[in-house]
Amino acid sequence: MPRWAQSIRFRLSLAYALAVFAVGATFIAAVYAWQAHQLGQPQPSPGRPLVYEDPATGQRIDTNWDVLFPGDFERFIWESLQRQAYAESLNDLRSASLVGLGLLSVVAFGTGWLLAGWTLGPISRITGVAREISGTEELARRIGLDGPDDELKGLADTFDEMLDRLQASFEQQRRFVQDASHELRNPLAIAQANLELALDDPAATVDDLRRSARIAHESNGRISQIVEDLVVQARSAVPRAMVAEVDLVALAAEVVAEMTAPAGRRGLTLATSTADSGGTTGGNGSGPVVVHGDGAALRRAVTNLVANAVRLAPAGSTVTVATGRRGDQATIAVIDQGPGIAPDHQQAVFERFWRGTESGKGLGLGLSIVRQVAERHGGTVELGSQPGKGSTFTIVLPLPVGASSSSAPPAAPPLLGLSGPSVP
Amino acid sequence: MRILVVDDEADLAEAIASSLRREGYAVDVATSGQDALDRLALNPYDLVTLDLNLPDLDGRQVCRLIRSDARFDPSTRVLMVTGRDDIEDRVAGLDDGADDYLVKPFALRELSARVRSLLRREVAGTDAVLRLSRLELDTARRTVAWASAPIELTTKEFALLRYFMSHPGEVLSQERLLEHVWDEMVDPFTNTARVTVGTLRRKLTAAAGSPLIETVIGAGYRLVEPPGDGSG
Repeated sequence: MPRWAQSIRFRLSLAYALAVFAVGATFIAAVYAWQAHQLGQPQPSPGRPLVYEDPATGQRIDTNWDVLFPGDFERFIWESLQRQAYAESLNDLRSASLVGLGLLSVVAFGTGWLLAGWTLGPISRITGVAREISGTEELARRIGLDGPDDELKGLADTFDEMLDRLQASFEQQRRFVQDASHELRNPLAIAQANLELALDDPAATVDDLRRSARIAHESNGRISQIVEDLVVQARSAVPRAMVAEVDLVALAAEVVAEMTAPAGRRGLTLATSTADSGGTTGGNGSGPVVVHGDGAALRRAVTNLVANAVRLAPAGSTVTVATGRRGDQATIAVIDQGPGIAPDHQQAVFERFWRGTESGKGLGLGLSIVRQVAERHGGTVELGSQPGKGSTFTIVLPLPVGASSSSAPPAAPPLLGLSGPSVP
Repeated sequence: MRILVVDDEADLAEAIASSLRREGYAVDVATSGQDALDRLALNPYDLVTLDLNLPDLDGRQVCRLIRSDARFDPSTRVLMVTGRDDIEDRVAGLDDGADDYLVKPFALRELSARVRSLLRREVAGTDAVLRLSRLELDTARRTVAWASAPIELTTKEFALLRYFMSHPGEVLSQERLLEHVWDEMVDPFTNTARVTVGTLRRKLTAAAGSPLIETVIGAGYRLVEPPGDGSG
């Protein structure tokens, strides 16, 4: 089949023409048959019975022709002329009908072609745009179909929306790669400069070399952190196999144990606490707080929060990891005592690679990972912060059904750490 | 030649500073934009290496201020050192008044070559060697020679001679020498400049046979060609 014959437009037009032809043909056939039937009957002369029965013999006599009456011959001639005329006019009717049917079919095909083209026009436009985009990766193109709010407009609008999302996600990915590479360049530059400095100095002492090695080692640590963050970021959904029961109380203890050494170097104290409904330490606060999720990712999120606090909190202060329940939700909060985040920045901290104005060190992917992990688990991250006093980051996760706290109704988010005494 | 290294990563700033100090430059370090601006207003730097990602101010803003604000020396060279490597970023940086742009991570050797290149733009000459009569100072190899005979100089003496040779015939005051050849760790009332000029002058006189640095009473010092020396 040739290409043009494969198009929907052609097939629609053909089907339309065939339908019109079929209906027309049926109609014409019916009219013809009816006409033929009507015209085929000779009109009887009035006042003369056509058939009668001989009462004596019971014989049926067709008075038309079996018995000739006076004037019958003229009638015969007239009737055969009439018959001939009927047959001719039927013939004419048939040829005219067939020609008409043919014309009708052609017109129907043409009309169908136009109609189908009119209907399918937007689709070829959509196809054109789609082809252009897949050919050039130019995601900024849109169909922007105008006209009535019909099925095709719906299709085009849906397509445009899909392109919006695609473009946004491509853009996001591009920026992400750019940011990540930028974020990697700093520690790389530090390591490279210090190693080169040590290697190029023939008089370098052991202390000089050790210092360079230490700095390079720290930079390496930062690089691995960023790479690890990138990996977590790339794993966009929790694979089924990774879902397990995770006890947040145990997780908090693990993270605190892991971070105690770096915190100690900065003169910070790490603590854990358990509390229900944001403040009241009670009997049912001491048990495990179990959620379903990816233990490694959750641990990573809490570690990121603690690492941020350890990096930024003022020396001598305490960083607390508080676990608890709030209604049918589990909470794990990291509470520090400074420096806090200005209200203007509280939204921005969750963006990738946001840099605290005080810190100088990039927060990198840290907080964006925290939010992502929380959201993947159907939870949220809450931030309560006052500049100069401290910040509380709370990861709120849904408790498994049937495991919610039996204690008091949910209280306000635990903005602990803002007012000293309420810190458990 | 006095250089300010601006980078919020102290470990990187210190490494750059150490490597430049080894080359005989007087180097100070600033770790924030405000810090950098304060120092720039206070000291006449010949060159600034400027990180663009500063915690308080954007590095490009700092660069625009250096170029536009009367508090700062407009002849200061600006070398942007940054992790942003987009073409747009480079173009914007240069348009903001930077003289050069270096992307992290970089080799210290490249940084120092760029610094040399930027600093010799104010001195006539196209290569790394400064010349006066038969005196030659190779800024890249850090060697000094009179008529091809090497002269041993300390790092500070080398830096001092480089500054003299970058300003031939000019009378340079002790204060100016302190500002451009010593960093901010130096005591402003010290006589270290006088002492170093003295030792440098002795070494040069011994090599050339006649004094190359003359004292202008009450004004400072001047590097001159030896009298009657036409062999250049």
